[in-house]
Amino acid sequence: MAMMMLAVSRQWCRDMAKNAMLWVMVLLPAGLSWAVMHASSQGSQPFSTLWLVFAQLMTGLMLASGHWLEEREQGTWQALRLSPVPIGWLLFAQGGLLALVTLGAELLVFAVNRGATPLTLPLAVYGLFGAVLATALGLLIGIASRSARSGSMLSTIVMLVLFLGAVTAPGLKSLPALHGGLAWLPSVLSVQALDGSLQGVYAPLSVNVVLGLWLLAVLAATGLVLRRQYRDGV
Amino acid sequence: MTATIEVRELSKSFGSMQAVKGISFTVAEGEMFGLLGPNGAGKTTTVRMLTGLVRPASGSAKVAGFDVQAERQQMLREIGVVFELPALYPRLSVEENLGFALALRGGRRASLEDAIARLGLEEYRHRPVRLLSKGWRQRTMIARALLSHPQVLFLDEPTSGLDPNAVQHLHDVLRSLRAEGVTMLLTTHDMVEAAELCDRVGILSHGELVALDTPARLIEGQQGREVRITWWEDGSLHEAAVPLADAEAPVLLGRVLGQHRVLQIETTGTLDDVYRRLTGGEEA
Repeated sequence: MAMMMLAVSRQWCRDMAKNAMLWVMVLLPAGLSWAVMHASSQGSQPFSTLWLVFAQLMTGLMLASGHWLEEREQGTWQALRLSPVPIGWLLFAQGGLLALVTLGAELLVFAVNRGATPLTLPLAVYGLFGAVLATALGLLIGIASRSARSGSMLSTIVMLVLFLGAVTAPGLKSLPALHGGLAWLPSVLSVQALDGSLQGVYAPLSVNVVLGLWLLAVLAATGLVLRRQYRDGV
Repeated sequence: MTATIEVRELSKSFGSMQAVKGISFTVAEGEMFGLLGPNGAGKTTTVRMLTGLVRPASGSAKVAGFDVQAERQQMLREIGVVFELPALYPRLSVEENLGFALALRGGRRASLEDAIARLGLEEYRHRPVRLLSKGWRQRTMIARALLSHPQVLFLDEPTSGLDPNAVQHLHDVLRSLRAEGVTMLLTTHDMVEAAELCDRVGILSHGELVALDTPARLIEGQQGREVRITWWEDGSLHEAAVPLADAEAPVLLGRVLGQHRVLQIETTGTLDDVYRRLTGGEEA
């Protein structure tokens, strides 16, 4: 099975490599972050982990949701479900590839703005975890949406909410009414975790647990959607 | 002869709409079976249940000896499916698309070359699918379905929208597959195609199987037979199609034949006629 998944992943890589939008979404966070940081303070501004979260959302969430919406629209999703390989394996392989591409986009953002500085282990861990979570969210939106249009609208809304939540994270404590809800957004937690990890420190246990629960919740929702689709023949 | 497809009291509802109402039929090994019916009659839902894409509400089905629900993964190894719309990666070439399907099934490279040769795809093997016409995409779909040498092939309206040459080629391929003993279940709106290709047909209407027999027997079974007469009367041409099942038929025929100059008379009865009568003129 592992060899089979490797062979399938190679074919997906071919398809992804020919997808111009993928390259745009991978390069855009790095290009934007470099341009904004250099334009705003001639390069003297400290690196913000918000750019890593931006890369996670732009590449992970937007690319993954677009990828699965495309699979459904062109009918290849149905063809995949007719293959003898369990659909869970296929989603794991596709999701894994997209998460790695997302991690690549994060590393590019980091490299463009911080130069050839080696990553700390916590930063790599949270970078990968954020990529996996964003990809899983993209998968959920991609397979649960009724149409490509509604799916792309939903993924844009989710991206904006998560990114704006992350942008406002430092000021959340001064807004007690909002703090309770927004502070638990995965993007807000990711920023906290990434900020700490820049200094080589792991985030508090509560942050790790809630991030893990987010991932579990998204994967559980994906499983439920797949079951419903099988029952309803979507 | 052993049954390769066994369907027992299969039903499926979507909300309050019952799409398939307890249908039962069998398809013998090597048989080409046509499932006919108007849009919304339940053909595609039946195929989707038989290929494990949709869970039946009740009833059971076996394909190639495997229960479509309990042994879905094993069953999927034995079948090929051709959809009406091409389900291919448009950026990948024909060969890459087939290579992808081969990787999913763990097949051998020789199968890919065989499928390309059989469907006449050599010239197009390196061309991206998005640049192919519908006919060539459909050939690619069939080549993909044949990669694993399936025991059973499901074809959901495979000739819809194809030009006559492409249809003819597809029919030739299907005939050669039947000669090799591949069991096929074909859904189509084209009654001529069904009559030409299928050993037996089932006609679905409102989710129920209203007829099940060979095309010849269905036509012979009176419902579809009629006499079409063209005659000259009072300075103008007249035409009439008289169903043989109609009690008035002998009277009308006797009157026309005895009193007028008959220009043409033909006994007809096509699968299309049978279909129209059984489905009550629903839109196909």
